[in-house]
Amino acid sequence: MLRPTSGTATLLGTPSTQLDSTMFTRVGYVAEGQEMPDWMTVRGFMDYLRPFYPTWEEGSLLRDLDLPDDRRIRELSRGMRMKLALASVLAFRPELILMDEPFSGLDPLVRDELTRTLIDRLATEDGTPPTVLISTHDLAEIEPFATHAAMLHNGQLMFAEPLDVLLDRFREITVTLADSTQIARTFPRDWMCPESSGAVVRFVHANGSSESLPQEIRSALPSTQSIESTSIGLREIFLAVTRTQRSAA
Amino acid sequence: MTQALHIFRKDLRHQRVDLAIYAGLLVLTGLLVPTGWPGHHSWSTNDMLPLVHTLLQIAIPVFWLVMIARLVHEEAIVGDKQFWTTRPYRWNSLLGAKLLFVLVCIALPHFVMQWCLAFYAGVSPFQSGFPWSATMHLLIVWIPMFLFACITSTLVSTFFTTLGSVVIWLVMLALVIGRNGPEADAPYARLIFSVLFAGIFAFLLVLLYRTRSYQLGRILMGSSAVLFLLMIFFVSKMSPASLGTLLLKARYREGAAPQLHLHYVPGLFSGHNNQNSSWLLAMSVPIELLGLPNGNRLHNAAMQYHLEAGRYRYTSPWRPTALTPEGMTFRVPTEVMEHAGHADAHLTVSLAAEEIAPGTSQTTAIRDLFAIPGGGSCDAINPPHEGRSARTSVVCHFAYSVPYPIEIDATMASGCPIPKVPMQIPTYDGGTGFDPLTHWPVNFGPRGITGATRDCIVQSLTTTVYRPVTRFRTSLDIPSIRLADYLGH
Repeated sequence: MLRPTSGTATLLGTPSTQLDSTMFTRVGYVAEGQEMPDWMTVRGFMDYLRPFYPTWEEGSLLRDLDLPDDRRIRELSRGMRMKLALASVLAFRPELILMDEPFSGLDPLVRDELTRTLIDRLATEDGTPPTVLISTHDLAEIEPFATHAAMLHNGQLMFAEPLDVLLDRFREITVTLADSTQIARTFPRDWMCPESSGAVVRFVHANGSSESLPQEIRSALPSTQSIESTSIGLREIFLAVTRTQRSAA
Repeated sequence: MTQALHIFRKDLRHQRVDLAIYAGLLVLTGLLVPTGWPGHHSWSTNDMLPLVHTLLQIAIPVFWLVMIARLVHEEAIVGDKQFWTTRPYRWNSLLGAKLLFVLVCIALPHFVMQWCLAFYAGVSPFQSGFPWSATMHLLIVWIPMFLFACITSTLVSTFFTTLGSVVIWLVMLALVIGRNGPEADAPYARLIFSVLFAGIFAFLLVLLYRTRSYQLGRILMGSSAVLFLLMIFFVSKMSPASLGTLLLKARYREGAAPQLHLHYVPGLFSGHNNQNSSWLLAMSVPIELLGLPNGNRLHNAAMQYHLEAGRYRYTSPWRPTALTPEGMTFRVPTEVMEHAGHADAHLTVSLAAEEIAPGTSQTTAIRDLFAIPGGGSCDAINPPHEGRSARTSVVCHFAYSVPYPIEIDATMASGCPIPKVPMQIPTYDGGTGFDPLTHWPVNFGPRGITGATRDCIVQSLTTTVYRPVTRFRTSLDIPSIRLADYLGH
């Protein structure tokens, strides 16, 4: 665990600098490129970890993930290693699962297997599923099932909110003008990635569903003929925010 | 404890092949070591054996490093992608498991091999010297290797970091100690070093496993090596104001044995001197120690002198000395002799030594393998040694430690040449060698098997073990002396 250069972080109420070994019976961590004891077999690895966790309940995890019991870890493909890492975390039913680039370099089939296993296992009988925090650049992969999204850019938290609120808030706005010669040279600062083509101006707005936005647009572009607002995905939001930050810098 | 044992069992499985190879190397070593003992199978029976033995002496320490590095790197301290850092490992369990492995799988087999050698030689290995030897192995070899593995991430980096650090450290040591001639051993030095570095190593291990601060660990390890160098420098320098001299004075008290005092007999010319080195002369000055009971001897004798000749002054460091019937051994730099040797000088001599007394002598009849007092065992069935017949070649073995000298005298068959002086087994402190024994051929018979001495056999050995009486320090003031008078030719 790295010490923060500034700021603080807490995991399940405990400061990150004070985590002890018992905390890791409640927190699972799966990361791309994580080192594992290569000499162990898949079965041996799971058997070795079992005594560390009082809540270990492996069930049919290995079978569900199509992991061969007797294969050594060093002989596993990248996708299988990731599946094993996930299996070894899901088996002890942690309260929090941290995943760092879990889909990186994996083929679509393995990605789908990982996602399905994760979702299946999270559905607990008592109705209190664990929290899963996924750090990834594969935004399209997590969009179908993520409930919240946060974005870090250059160490700054750009946003952190429920995904449905976020997707509702960020909209791509397309403005059609009556007179293409009246396009302004500069646009309001809260218009992200504005671009114009002929009589059409297109930009992303962080409050795209705001009722006051049409009025703002008409103020900036008096010859506005029509305004169209369309929803965009996480990837487009990420690009818009990142590009805006870069141009501001 | 449960977690530590769980990790330990996993490491056993992981390194089972290493352990099998290690066991093989130890068995080979155990078989080869006795062939180098005096009186045992000669190297000449197989030209390859000495080479194999030498290779084993290199291979085993290298294998220790490999095993320890693999052990530590299984749950590496360096890096941020190790799986164990996000698992519920307790640092003390992990450290405990690793140290348990070093003790059970590396140290114990090595000591078992040594014990087998000792038993084979008829000596009990469980003597006072064993804990010290085990401590030296841990503090000089295994724990430093363990620490080097902790601050590196791969086997190759561990190997080269360890090798490079040791070479640099030895070069620095050579530069620090420099050319100084023989100096007396500072008392308590090894004990102080052991306690201090046991504490430092324990701190480093806890730091590395508790906080995984390997960068800080590297800095502290480098600092410890420098501290070790400085301590060696300050302790080994036996100059008047050094730490080593303070320790010597603490151990050997002035006036602890008032009946013992030095006496200068002017004019007694010894006529002997040795060139100790290109710049240091060893010469006998007619000084005797009065008051020493008959039969008692001096042990670990060291002396220091201060010389004043006109405006020239020289104070020697504490150096080993011997008091013989010819006088007291002085080691004088040639430069000092050139400046003050022929002048009328004022000399102050200090002697620090331990008085030892002979215990009750015990006579043992020669048998094939027989024990003697002092924890030794002698072997009279060995093949001819240095041209002597078997029955006149007795080899005595001692395990790990001979704290005080042992005297062995022989009773020969009538008509055989009688040895002039008894055999003296000097003190011995087994360090980190593979062979835990020290071997002393008691060669009483004449060289070569001739007709007259063919049947000359040793009938019995009389062994006398010396015991400590007192440690003392005394001095002598000689107002006028010309050192050159005692130079030989």
